[in-house]
Amino acid sequence: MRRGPKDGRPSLLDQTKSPVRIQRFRLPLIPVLIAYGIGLFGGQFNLRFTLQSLPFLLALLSLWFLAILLKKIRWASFLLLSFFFFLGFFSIQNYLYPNLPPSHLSRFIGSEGIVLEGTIDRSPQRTRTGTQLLIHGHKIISSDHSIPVEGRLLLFLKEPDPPLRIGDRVRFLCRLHRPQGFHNPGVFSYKRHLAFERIYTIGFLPVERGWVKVGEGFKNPILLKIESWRDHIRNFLEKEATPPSSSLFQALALGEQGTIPEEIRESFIATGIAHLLAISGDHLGIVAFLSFTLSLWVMKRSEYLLLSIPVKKWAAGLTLPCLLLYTFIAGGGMSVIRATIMVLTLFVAIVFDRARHLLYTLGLAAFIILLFSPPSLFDVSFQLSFIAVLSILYLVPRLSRNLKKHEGMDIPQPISRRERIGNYIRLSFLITVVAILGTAPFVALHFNRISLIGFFTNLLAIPWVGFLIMPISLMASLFSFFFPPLASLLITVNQFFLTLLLKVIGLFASLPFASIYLPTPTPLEMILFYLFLFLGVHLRKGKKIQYLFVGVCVIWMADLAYWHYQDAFRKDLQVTFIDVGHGDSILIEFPKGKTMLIDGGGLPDNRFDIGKHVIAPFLWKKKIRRIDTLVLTHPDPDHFNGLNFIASHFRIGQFWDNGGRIESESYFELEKTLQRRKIPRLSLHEGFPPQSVNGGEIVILNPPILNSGFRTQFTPSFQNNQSLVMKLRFHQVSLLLTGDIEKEAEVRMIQKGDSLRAQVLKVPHHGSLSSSSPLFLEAVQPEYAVASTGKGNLWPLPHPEVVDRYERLGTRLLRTDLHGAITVITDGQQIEIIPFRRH
Amino acid sequence: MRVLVKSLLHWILPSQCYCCETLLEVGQPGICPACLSTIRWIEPPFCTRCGVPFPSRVGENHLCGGCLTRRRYFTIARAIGYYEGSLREVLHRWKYEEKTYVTSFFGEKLEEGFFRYWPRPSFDLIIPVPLHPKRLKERGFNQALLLVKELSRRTRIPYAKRILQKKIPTPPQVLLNGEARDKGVRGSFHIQNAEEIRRKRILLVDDVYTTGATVNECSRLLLKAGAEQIDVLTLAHAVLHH
Repeated sequence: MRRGPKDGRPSLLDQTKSPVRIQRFRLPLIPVLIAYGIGLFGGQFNLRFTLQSLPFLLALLSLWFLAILLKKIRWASFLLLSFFFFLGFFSIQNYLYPNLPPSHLSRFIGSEGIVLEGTIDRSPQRTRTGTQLLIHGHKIISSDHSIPVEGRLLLFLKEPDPPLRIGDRVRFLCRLHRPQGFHNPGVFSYKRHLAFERIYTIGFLPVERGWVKVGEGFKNPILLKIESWRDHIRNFLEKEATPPSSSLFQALALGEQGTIPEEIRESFIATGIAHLLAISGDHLGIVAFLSFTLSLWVMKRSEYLLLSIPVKKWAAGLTLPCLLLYTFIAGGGMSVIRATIMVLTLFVAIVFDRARHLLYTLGLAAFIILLFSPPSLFDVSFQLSFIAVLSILYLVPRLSRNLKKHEGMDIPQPISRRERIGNYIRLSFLITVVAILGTAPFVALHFNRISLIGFFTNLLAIPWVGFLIMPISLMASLFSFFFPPLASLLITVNQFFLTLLLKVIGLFASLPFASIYLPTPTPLEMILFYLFLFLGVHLRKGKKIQYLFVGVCVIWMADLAYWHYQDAFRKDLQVTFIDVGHGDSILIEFPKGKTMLIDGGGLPDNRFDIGKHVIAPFLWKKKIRRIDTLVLTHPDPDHFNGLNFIASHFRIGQFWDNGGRIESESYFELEKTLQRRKIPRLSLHEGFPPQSVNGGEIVILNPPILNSGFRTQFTPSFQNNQSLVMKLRFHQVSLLLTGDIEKEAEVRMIQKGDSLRAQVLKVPHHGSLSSSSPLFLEAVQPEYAVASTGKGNLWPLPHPEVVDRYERLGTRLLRTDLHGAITVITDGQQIEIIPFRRH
Repeated sequence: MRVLVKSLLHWILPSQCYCCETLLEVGQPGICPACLSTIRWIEPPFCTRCGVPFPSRVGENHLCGGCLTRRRYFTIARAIGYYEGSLREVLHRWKYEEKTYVTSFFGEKLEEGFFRYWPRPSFDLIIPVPLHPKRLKERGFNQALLLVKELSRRTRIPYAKRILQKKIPTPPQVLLNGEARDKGVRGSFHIQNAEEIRRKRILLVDDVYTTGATVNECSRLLLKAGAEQIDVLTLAHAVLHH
């Protein structure tokens, strides 16, 4: 836009520009949005507020009204801002730290199964291992009476496709659990994730058909109709397309991505186009764009229409029903609704001629979404779509203006087709780059992974999916209702397009450095990054901006240098017992930045990768990317299942084990990774000389020298007794790390005359009765003992008797199930214990 | 109550200046005072025929040189403002960037001018200068028709949107000089349903008046088809600097 003086009349312009009054809060929504956002953010901390939130908010509101009446504008704005701050604060508190009534389901969490009756609250969601039902509880039934209950239960079924619908009333026998997460600093909390959906109770039905349908509750006829449409489309897609494609079509049309194979998901993530799999703003945006352009094109065919009606607004009006239909067909999940609100707001603004400031409209959309669903602020998909749109709307016009030489509003000259294509490609490239850069800090924060190739693949895949595969899938779904032959033809063609895409994506994903893993950025780093982008596009504005830009770069360099060298100056020794549920994983950080990771946790059936989802994020959060020594005490699934991810995604110096091998697929995978990455492997035993690492000394006490090899033929207890036992000494302080040894190995070490005394003992075998024999404890005499145990476990560990033994000895027992991650810090004299959760 | 709704709307979606996009306060018109002040409205003296304002700010209205030498088919032509500065910019945004929300602002200004120039209007019909269908499809609307609709709504004079049609596309007038314009537009229009304009007094409306070639050709055709009298109102008058 040109405001500069022209035609030699500068004085007039300059004089009239300046006297414009600067009103307080010209964009009144922005400060309110910020106050509300800060309130929401602050609400996640448990401050144990005992304030009655509702009367307090009402009081603020009435004070505000009073101030308006008295025309105290300054007071009114202050009151309004604080109202929204506290509104945000209390609404998040209400999700995370709710005051649940006594009849709430979560009060019945316990070791015994109960018979519960309730209705299904949302359409069953398919997962890779079965089905998830959200049950709205009605009553608990015992032999002679029933107790009314309230609250929601997330129920996991084994069967992949139970004949259940939203609104069905079911009864089942089930043990209720509290949602379990892993309590490690800076790692995704499943418990919090569910709390934001007001789910505080979960349950598993271990047997198929473990439920009885007892009737039907109220069923919303519209929802039911939509549900049947969805079923129809699902059946159609499953029938007409072969598995990998059909799952992707389902993801695009129905928003159900539960059945997408892990390899395909992985290749999408590696190439930075995973956002295409989840229905979000870009999909709705494309649907809006397509239906808008299509209806505009059709209407423009008629000269009569062009002269009679504002075709653009009509086209926009026609787009709304298409958008809503897609929202419902796509399952109406929270993220879809959010995207719809965002696209709708932008669209309505255009239709009602208020689209003069799209950035502001985006703020409005965010505000509506956050009022409607406060926890969205913490949701990855909300953050990413919001930031992506924000950076596109803010940066792209400024960048393209910088790239263009002249600016100004002149009559558009006719341009050639080639020029137009060139412009289109340049613009899409710019948008892609800006969206990726804008979201990068949040992607790194949540996924620790950035796709380098994404700058290129997005340029290819977004139009391919957005303008080819997705519209065809939707058209086919639509035609499957009236004209199935055409629908099948469309799907066949579409399958071809999709296969092509998958081939190309697979190829790109296999390239080295397609994606890189990054440590978690600190808040300072994220702020610096955004300042960098912001100042970067304003560089032309003058010296001050340029100095600031250089300043930001310098601070950034300093920050990188700090994290790079911080470890090198470390003087103390830190040992962290990571909360991996049932299983072991211990991180040792030696002085001057050497690291050792002992065991990698793991669930028995490996359906959830502890390494990927728990240990790696924890390490990244600590900005650790190199493990000097990776240790496996003995090959049990709860010790090695998580190691494969660590071995393949971190730089590993060497690998130690006890020489034992077992015949198990996931164990072989770990061995393969070690071979592929050429990681030197050492099998240790008691004869191994003590190792010294930057002031710390490691002595191997177990196993005895034995021939290594497969040991499946031996009993589990033999395996456990072969565990690698290490004594770590740092000046005056010793830690005894015992793996899963049992009484036999304990006694053997005592008889051998090893010096076992240690201030900190890792409770052997997760606190089983088979271990921690009184004699052994007598020999170790620990001040602190740490048990790595899972909650809600099949084996309720540590065993009460074992707990007693430690108590009698006066040892302070810490447990990962209660305390979360447990960190031991020592300078060689003093010991400091920091549990992540105060129990 | 209305104030409350208005301020709520302002709160949710504040309005911005059409021209420089600065935010406006509640109740301000669509264009900020700064931009508004750079718009030059056409004031006398101007040509009694084609309405071109004279550079000198004093003196009486009289015929201009162009109107003495060239044949004008319309009776009088008038414009609201100079085609320059903010008005030109807003016009361009409106026309080329499809910011159609400016239309009502223009309508207001047209209405003011209309009653100033024709204190006792006696028009039977308002007709816009048409666009060639191809151009219409490109743009999606006829800017002159938008003005006509606004003016018709405000003055309650009926309008006709398809009587005058463009048959032959001509290059944008802004790119040509006077002579070429006269020649270029000749025969490019066409009239349908001539009986509807027979003996009617017609107001022809367009967005910009440059040399008058377009409106002159339209007027010629309309007169030939039996209209009684043609007057012209445009939003802006492009005054050629010498």
